[in-house]
Amino acid sequence: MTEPVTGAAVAQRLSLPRKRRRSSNYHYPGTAWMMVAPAVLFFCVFVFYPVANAIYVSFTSWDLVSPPRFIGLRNYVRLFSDRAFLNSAMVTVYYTLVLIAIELPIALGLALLLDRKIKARGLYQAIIFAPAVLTMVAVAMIWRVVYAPVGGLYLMFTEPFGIAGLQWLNDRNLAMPAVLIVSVWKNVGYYMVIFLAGLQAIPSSYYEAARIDGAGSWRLFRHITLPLLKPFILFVMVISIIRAAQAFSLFYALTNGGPANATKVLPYLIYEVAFGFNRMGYASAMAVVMFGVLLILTAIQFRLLRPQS
Amino acid sequence: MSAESMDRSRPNRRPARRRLRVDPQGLAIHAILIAVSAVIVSPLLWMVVTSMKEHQDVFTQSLWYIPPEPKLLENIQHVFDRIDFFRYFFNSLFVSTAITLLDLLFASMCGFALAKYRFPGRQIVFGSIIATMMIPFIVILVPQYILVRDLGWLDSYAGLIIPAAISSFGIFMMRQAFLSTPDELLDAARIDGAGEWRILFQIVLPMHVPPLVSLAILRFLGEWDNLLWPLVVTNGESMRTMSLGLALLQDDRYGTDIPMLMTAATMALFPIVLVYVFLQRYFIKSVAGSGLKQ
Repeated sequence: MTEPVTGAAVAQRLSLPRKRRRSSNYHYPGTAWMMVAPAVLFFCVFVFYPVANAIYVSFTSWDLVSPPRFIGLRNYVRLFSDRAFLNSAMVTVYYTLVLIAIELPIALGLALLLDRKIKARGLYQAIIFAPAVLTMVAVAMIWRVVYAPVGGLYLMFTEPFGIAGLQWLNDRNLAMPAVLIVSVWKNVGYYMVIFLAGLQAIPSSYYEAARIDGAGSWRLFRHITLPLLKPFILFVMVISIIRAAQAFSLFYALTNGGPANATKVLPYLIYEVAFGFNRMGYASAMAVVMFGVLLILTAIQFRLLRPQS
Repeated sequence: MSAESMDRSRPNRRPARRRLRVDPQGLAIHAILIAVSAVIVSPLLWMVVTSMKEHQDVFTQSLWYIPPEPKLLENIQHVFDRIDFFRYFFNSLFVSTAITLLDLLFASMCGFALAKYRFPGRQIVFGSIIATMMIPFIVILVPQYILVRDLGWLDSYAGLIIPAAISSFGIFMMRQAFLSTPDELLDAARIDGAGEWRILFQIVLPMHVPPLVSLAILRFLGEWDNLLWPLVVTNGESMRTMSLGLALLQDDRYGTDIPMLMTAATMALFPIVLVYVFLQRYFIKSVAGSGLKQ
C-alpha cells in the first residue's frame, strides 16, 4: 500500500461523480462475527448464564458450603408471608415513588429556568449538576455529619424556625426523609441536564408563532413545551425508576438500612440475606421477583412511550 | 455576517446604552437559582471547613468556625494512620480505567458490526444484548459472585474488572453513533485497499470521538462509584476500592472522629472535583446526550 488511508482522502474521493453502487457491506460476515464475538461471549458468560443460574438457584436452598438442594417453589411461597421481604418491598416502592414525585418536578422547573438567556447560566448548570459526579459513599459520609443531632449542618436551615436536636438517622419517621433529601440533592442536576437538552431541542419558532397568536406563558408551557417534552419525561421516568429501585450505596453508607429496617430497601435486603446469612436460594428468589416487577413496570412505561415515536 | 456589516445595514440604530432597569422576573429567576446553588454547595463547603477542625470543635464551636490554626494536616495524617488511602485510590483508578478501556474497545467493535454489516444472527445478537439493559444488577449479583468464586477470581483485579468489562449500554450507544457513518465512505476506503479492521480503527473511530468520550465518562464515573460489587468480591485490605474503603472507615469500631471523616471525604472528592472543573462541559454533554439518543 502506498498512501495512508485517511478520512480526508476518502471524503475527497467521495465528491467525484461516479455510478451509484450497491453497498458491499454484505460481504464481510466473517469479519463482522469476529468483531461481535468478544461481546457475545462476554454476555453469554457474565449475563445470560448468571440470569439462568439465578432462576435455578431461586428454586434451591443453598448456603454456598453444602451443595444446593432443590426445594421447588418453597422460597417463593415463603416470600409472601415474610415480614422482612414485605417491609423491604414497601420501603423500596415508597422510596422510588416519593423520590420521583419530588425530584422530577424540581429538575424540570430548574431546566425551564435555565432554558433562557440569563447571566451565569453555565455556572448555575455546572453547580447544580456537580453532585451527580461525586462519589456516592463520600456524599453519604458528608450527609451523615450534616444530620448529626448536635453540630450538624442541618441546623443552619432549621434553627431559624426553632428546631434543633433532630435525630434524623435514628428516628424511624425521619430516616427515609433524610435519605430522600440526599437523593434529591444528588440527582436533581442529572435529570435537569436531560430535560434541558429536551427543551433546547424544541424549535423557538413554535413559541414565536404561538406568541403572535396571543398565547400566554402558561399556555405556551401547557400546549407546546409539555407535549414536545413528553418523550424526555417518559425516558427520565423509566431510568429514574430503575435507578431508584436499585439504589444500594446510599443506604449502605448513610443508614445501614436502619433504624429498625425503616430504610432497608430490597437490594440491601438481598445483599444481606445472600452475604450476611448465606441464604443464596432465598436471596435469588427475592431478586427474581423484583426483576419481574421492574420488567412489568418498564413494559407499561414503554407502552406509554410508543405512540409518541 | 460580521458585526461591522450589520451596523452598516442599519444606519439609524442608536448606540446601545446600558440602562439600569429593574427586571422583576429576571431577579426572581436569579434569586431562585442562587438559593438552589447555595443548597447544593453548602454541604461541600462545610465538609472542607469541618476538615480543618478538631473533633471537639464540631460540638462546641459554631457551624462555620475555622480554627485560627487549621488542623487539616493533622487530620490528613489521621486518615493515613487509619487507611491505606493511596492503595484504595490506585485500586479505584486502575479498576475503573481498565473497565472503561475494555468497554470502549469491545463496545466499538460490536457496535460497528451491528450498525454497518449484514450478517446472519445480527438481529438476535442486537436484540438480546439490548434486552440485557433491563436486567438489574442485583438479579445477577449472587450467580455472578458464584461464577467469580469458581473461576478463582475472588479478591483479585480480574474479579473486579472482567465481569463488568462490556456494557450493553456502551454497545447500544456506539451502534447509534455508527449508524450515521455513510456506507460510501466505507466503500471508498475499501477501494483504497483498507481492510475492515483498519477502516474501523483508523477511519471510523477517529470520526466518533465525542460518543467515545461520553461513553468513557459515564462508564468511568459509574465504576468509580460502584460499592456493591467490591463489597462482595474483595475481602482483604489490598483490593479495597475508594468507595469500599470509605464505607468501612466510617463504620470503624474506634468511634467517629468527624473531622477525620470529612478530611477523608475531601481527599476522595478532590480529584473528581478538580477534573470536573476543567471538563464539566463534557460531563454535562455526556449526560444530556443520553436522553436525545433514545
